Amino acid sequence: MQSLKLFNLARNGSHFVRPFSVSAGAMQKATASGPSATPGYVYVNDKEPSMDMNAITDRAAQTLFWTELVRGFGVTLAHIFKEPATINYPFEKGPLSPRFRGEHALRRYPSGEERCIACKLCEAICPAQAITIEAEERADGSRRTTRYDIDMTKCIYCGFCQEACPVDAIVEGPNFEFSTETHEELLYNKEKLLNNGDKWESEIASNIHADHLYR
Amino acid sequence: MNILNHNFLRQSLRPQFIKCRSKSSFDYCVESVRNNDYENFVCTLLLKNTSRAIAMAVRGFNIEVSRVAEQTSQPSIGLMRLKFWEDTIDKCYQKDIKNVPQHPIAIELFKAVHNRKLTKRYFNNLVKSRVDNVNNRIFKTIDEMEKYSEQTVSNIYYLILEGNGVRNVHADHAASHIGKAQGIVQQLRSIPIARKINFIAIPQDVLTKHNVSHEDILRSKASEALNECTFEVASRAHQHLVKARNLLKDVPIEGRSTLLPATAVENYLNRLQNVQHNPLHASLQHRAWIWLPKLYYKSLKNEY
Repeated sequence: MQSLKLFNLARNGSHFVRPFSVSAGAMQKATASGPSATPGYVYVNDKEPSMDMNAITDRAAQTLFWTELVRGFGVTLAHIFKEPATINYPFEKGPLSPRFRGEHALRRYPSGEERCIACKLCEAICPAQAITIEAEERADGSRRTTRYDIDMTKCIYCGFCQEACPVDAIVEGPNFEFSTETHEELLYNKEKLLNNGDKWESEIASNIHADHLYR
Repeated sequence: MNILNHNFLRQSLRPQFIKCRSKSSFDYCVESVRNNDYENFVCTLLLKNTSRAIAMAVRGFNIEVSRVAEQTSQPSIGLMRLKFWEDTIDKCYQKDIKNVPQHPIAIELFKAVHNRKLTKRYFNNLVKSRVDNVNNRIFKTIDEMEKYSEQTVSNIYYLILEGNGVRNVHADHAASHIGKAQGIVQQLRSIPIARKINFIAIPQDVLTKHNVSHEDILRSKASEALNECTFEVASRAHQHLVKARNLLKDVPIEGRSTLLPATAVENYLNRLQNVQHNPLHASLQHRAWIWLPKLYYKSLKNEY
């Protein structure tokens, strides 16, 4: 009865708690007896792992699971030390292509005179028909616009107006932060467009620059 | 906070930035030529007073029409802009300045046309050659490329010669050769930015002969075969340069300063030769200052 108790304990894996009644003689008897599962004896050799399909799959899955888990933690740890891929947007800005087509602007010459000569090519080419121009002669005889409206909610930002302008007056500048709360604020008039031009002139001019002729 | 500062800085600097810039239409014209066509700008500075203003106007006009193809994505838009310039030329030849569009270069052109008698046909040729090639992405043969160069560059020299008061067959002959050489060199220079301007600068027959694909050029892939192509095209430019220089004795002295850009062409061809005709070599992307004293020496000696 006592040796049976010992067997149970060993199976539970407690090597430290042993009943004091286990005698040295009984232990000797057990080791000498060999693998045959004689009742009352303890088998202490390495057990062969079971080789049936189910058991193998189980073991493999367990190994994979633990390795993957550790590797996952590894990736997480590595990302703590990496530079973040995101930027702190309103305070940091990402790079913009010089050909970026953002908010429209009407440019002026360095003398302060507006560039637009009311040729209406932009109005003609605009596929969304977002541009409206009215023109008449000024007192000094030069032809200028009296009205230059762009409906920014119709505009599809194709950049054709900029391409069609023979005097580089209307451009799509680098500004893309012009959201408003009402629709009316997005109906730009000439004054607003000229102000945009004044505000963004240095950026627009540096985007247009080229070193020498190619064709 | 940072952005606010930046905006504030820009706002406070802007008026000054504009103030130090030039005001008159001539200044605008000069600025435009300097920014877009530096070598010809330096050569134009060496001309005498009136002819310099005329040369600036003509070169400014050329910049406007030559950049149309690279600024537009659709041929129809390019044609619209060129039509505008064609109309502007017509209006410049009328008496009334009020009809001329209020564009600084158009105004300079009007002054130039009324200052010295310039032939309208040359202006029309300049526009027409651009109209014909607005949709062109490659030349079929090297002769076609040469013809295009003749139309787009030599016509400028004819106009500047006229502005200089020189109407001479030999001067025009030399100008024709220099124009061809310069036109070809201009196109060779565009090889590194072929993708940006969507234009392949080496004629198709040369590419086929040396088995170079369009893709190699668009991807700026340097190869021995590409160098061979460049060599073939560059040697054509060189031939024209030599022919023009052989005519030196027959060209009247007052017309020689007009043809000074030949020095810039020679300078580029020499640099190209030094890098084994590799058009993508980094040293070709920089301005070389060394030709400036050479240019001045040539102009002192009344040569080109």
